[in-house]
Amino acid sequence: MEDTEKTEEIQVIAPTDKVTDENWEPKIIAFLCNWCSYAGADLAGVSRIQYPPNVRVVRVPCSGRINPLFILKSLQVGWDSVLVSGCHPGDCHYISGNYYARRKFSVLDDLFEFMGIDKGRVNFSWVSAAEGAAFANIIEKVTEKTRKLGPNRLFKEL
Amino acid sequence: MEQIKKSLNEIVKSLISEKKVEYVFGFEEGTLPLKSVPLYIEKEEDIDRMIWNEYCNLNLVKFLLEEPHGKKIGIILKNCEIRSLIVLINENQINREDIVIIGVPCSYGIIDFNKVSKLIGGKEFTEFKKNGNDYTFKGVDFEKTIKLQDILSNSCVYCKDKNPVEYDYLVEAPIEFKTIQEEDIDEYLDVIEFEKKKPKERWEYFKKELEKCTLCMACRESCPLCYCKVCFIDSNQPQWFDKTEDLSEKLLFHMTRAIHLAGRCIMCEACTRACPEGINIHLLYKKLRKMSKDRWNADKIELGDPSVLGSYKIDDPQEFMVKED
Ligand code: SF4
Ligand code: SF4
Repeated sequence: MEDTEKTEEIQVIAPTDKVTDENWEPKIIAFLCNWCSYAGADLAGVSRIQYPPNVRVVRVPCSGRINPLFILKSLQVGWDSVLVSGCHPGDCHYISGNYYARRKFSVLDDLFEFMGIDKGRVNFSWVSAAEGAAFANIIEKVTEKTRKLGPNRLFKEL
Repeated sequence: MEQIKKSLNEIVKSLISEKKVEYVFGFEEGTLPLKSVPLYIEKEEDIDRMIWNEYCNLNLVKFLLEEPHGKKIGIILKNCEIRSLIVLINENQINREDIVIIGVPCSYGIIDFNKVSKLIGGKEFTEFKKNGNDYTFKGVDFEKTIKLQDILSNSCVYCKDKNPVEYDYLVEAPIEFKTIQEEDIDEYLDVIEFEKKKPKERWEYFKKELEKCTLCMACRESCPLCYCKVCFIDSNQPQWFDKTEDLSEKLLFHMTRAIHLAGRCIMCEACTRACPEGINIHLLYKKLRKMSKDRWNADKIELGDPSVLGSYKIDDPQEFMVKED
């Protein structure tokens, strides 16, 4: 049996208007680690903490799984900014994944700085499973930052 | 140069005649003026073809990667190239026991043809003459004399240690060898200067430079540290790269490559010299080397060191993290 209700819903949310600078809303892709940040986001939801709806979540096993290429590719295909979040140092489920991740993040961060690209487009944070409020707060901050930077034309103006 | 040549000949001859190695990697004269090509020295006759001079400017270590393990191979290397070999040994790509390193102390360094070509206006030269440190290039309708310091590879301009750090045989060289510039300059001077520019200028610079890139992959192919069997750019499952000429693709390639080389690049600058468009692509990698020094104090490479991204310290700096307030 076809789920008609669902089809309708999809049609309703399909974009009808063309995105212009006026009605533009930041779109943020968030890579969250399964054990801490994703659970943190879950807690924020369960606790009904309000945060901007601009973020789309990708669950990854560990922040160490994040290849910097994922981040660059996300920006290339048009996400306005990227957030990567993992467990606090010392809390990694796989013991040291986030330490390795931190080194990769610093490379990316310095590379952006060096090439003169807005650093606000890539964000890294540590959020534990107990920090629902912190997660909401970080999303707010990142959304605000992205809103100030405007639509991501980084790779498009090229 | 004469002394080096003589000592080098003796070492290679003894290695070959005593069958200590299967062959030795060196250079021979190329078909164009001021060009060298790699030479496999298998027999004693081959030694006569061997050359050693300031235009032996390929990184031969790249060729070792294609050789099977367990084969004894000799190779003639300068210090920067020895550093790249050390990285490969640390990354378990090459066995130290397989390689006989013939280390040559560097005099002034090697020539960057992109610099020559810029100075002679992109024209082709058919002849050159050398007189001390003056190089005279002659073409169909021009003749120009250029000083060696103007065409030295940047790697040599900023090079600090010209004596091999790891070797099995050391070539004898006259002791008066030193750098060509009078004052002592910082190893990372070009990066520091570049960092002083405004972000906008830096971005414009990279945009302008990468506009020229044709994605020919010469930089990747010449780099001894780019040894993946399938590069992410060639992979089609998943396909990261759309194989178009778009500048965003070039940016994606070069930024990712820089990340892959972060802290590993040993500043031989084979990449910059190989680039047919004359892009100073090495600047990115050099920056990341400087970063490893600033952040993790890890810019010197020694045998047995872990790779920079494959290791960590509990208290690595993390000032860039977004924090809640
Ligand atoms: S990136 Fe360039 S300078 Fe660095 S190791 Fe590779 S070829 Fe040499
Ligand atoms: S060698 Fe030069 S033109 Fe070729 S891919 Fe590298 S930077 Fe681009």
